[in-house]
Amino acid sequence: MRISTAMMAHSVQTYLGRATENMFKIQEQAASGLRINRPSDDPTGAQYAANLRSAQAEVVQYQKNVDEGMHFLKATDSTLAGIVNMVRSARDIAIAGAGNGAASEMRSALASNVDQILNSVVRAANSDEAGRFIFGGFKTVTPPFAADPGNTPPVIYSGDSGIMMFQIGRASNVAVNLPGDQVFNMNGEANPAMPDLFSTLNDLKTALLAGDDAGINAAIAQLDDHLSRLISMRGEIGSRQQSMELAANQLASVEFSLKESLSKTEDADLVKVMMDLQQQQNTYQATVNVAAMLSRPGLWDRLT
Amino acid sequence: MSTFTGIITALSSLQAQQQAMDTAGHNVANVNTLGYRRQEVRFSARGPYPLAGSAAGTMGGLCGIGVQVDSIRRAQDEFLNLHFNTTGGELSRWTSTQNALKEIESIMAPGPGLDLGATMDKFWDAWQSLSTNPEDLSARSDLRADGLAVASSFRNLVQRLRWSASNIDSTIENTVEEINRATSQIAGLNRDISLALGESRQPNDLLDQRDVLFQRIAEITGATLITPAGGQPILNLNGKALVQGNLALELKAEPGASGYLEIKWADDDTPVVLQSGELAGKFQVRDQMIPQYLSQLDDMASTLVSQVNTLHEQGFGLDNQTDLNFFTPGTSAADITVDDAILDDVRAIASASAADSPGDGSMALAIAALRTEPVMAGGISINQSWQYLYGSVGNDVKVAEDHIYSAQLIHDQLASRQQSISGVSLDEEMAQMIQYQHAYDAAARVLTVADEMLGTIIEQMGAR
Repeated sequence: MRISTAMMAHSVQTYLGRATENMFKIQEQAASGLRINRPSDDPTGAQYAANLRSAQAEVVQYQKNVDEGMHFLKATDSTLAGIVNMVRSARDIAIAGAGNGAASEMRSALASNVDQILNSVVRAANSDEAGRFIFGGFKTVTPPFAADPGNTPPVIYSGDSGIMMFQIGRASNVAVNLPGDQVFNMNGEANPAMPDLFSTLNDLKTALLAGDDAGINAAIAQLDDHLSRLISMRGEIGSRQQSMELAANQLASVEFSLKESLSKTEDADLVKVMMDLQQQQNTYQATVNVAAMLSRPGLWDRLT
Repeated sequence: MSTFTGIITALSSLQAQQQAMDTAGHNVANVNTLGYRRQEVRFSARGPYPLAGSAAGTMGGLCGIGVQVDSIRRAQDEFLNLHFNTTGGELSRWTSTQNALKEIESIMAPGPGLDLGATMDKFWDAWQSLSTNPEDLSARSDLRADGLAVASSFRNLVQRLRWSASNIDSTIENTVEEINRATSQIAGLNRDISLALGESRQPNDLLDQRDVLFQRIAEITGATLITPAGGQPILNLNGKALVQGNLALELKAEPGASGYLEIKWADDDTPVVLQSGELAGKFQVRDQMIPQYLSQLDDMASTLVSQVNTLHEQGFGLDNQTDLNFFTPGTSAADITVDDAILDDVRAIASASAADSPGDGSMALAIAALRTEPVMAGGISINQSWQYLYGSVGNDVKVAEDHIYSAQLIHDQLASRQQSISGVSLDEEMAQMIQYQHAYDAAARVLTVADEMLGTIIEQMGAR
């Protein structure tokens, strides 16, 4: 092939351009640590990476929801534990005041103890977690229980039966609250045959004051029923906490594997990048050397 | 045979070698001239002269009387030129597509965590956060801010895509002017060339200039050349002669139905349909790709607005308001925005499924679930639709790059073949100059000898 002078210059330009472009691409990968720096670098990979990033955001949000839910469950659990203790001591008082014809001074002291317990249970029932009343159902911004002395029932529930569901996975919602009507059997919500806990305590107080053994014994039976319901509710909370913890572990491992997939999809293999960079630099150097040799005039300077 | 034949013969050689030397000089001078084709001097022996006194019909009865310059040939391959123009059109078509798309790609993918998809992720996350904390005013403010961010991301994308399209549009007028200038130049050159040819002169340099203009127009428009037998090449665009002889048709750019400029023939107002060249690439991006991206954004925005609103209307806010929109109803990505009711008071954001249920986040949860619900045509979610758009822009750039790569290879190869035929080699010219110089020296020597011989006759014979 006949080679013209401009051809030599042009081909040197082309090769230098190509070598520089390749080097630039590899340098970009080395600097960013990414194989895909824009969608056109690998459209399929970029789309997949976008999908992974979105899934990652989703998982992080589920983790936040789990944390929120755990706080709520913990608050519910410790409040329930306190209420269980209060009901137990009310039962102890009832047993102490029953049957043996105790002196009326002692029984009135016991009755005032029961009254204090009743007030404590109302306070506990109005517990809040970061400003949200935990036993109000969806009515979380106003105290759900209000004392109404002298009336039946002695405490009025203004909450509802709402169950808060937190999402902790694509298809997994967990209830985090126990509505107060269930917990305290308001209006026979949990057991229609029984009065609510506050009425029981109030009845116990009245029976103690009156020395009404039958009344005291009836209250003991009711307290037993309340106790067993409260304990089983703690169990329910405990099992929700467990499933939350399990979900948290699963989410952590999903997050890790998403991170790994994302890295595999868009991260540059730095060892390979370094090798490529070295190789491209060699190519570039060689092209530059060739260019330097080409620029020497041939026949021209031999003859003059 | 005349007494002076020897002198005339030598003179013809002196003149011919001189001409060849000048041509070599012209070649050397134009070694870097764009579109210059190497010129070669063709010699031939001058018509022989019957020798006086020799019997007619015998061999050797004719005596040569020197050399003449037959032609100055232009080293080129017509077919290669045509091919080169075609690949040039293809190459510049994809290059202009790629340039425009690269800009769009950077608009669509500003970086991980900054694109519309990431903004939407944040928006869905905010609904989730609200579902776990529906009474919390700061969770509501966050959600409103994220809703505004999604809306402004959509609007920004639309704005910048439209801006890209009008950017492309603003270059059209200049390009049309360039075409018109070039075609009228070609028409002028055609006239000069046919004049020169009529006088049996070879207008090499004019042909070179015309080829450069042909090439430029092919790059812009993909126009092709048709050379009728014995005639001048016709520059053909869209089945119509853009330049024929010394007549050039004008093109004009006028706003079309889309509001963007369209290219038309100035004589009969018919539109020019471009298949190749820089303009075809620009039009493809402006008229097909950008509108396609925009309509996908519109689909996403209108689905987002209607789906979120449908749920939101059924829900109740902290202030017990219901039947409110979250986004102002609309079907365009260009004007999507958060509804005034929400902007006025974040408590209006409907998170609950019933009134008087501040702790109920179930409606927020239902809206958050839209993230993965297949609400778009084709059974994909809004986020997936975005990922698809994101990938398809990348793919469009990649397709253009691949085309450029192969077109460039072919074009380069043709260029080097063309250069191989037409390009000036300084070494070669040097060698030829030496050749011509020696021939010139020798002819001069012949002249001296002829002169001496005449001297012998005139001076020595006359002295007797």
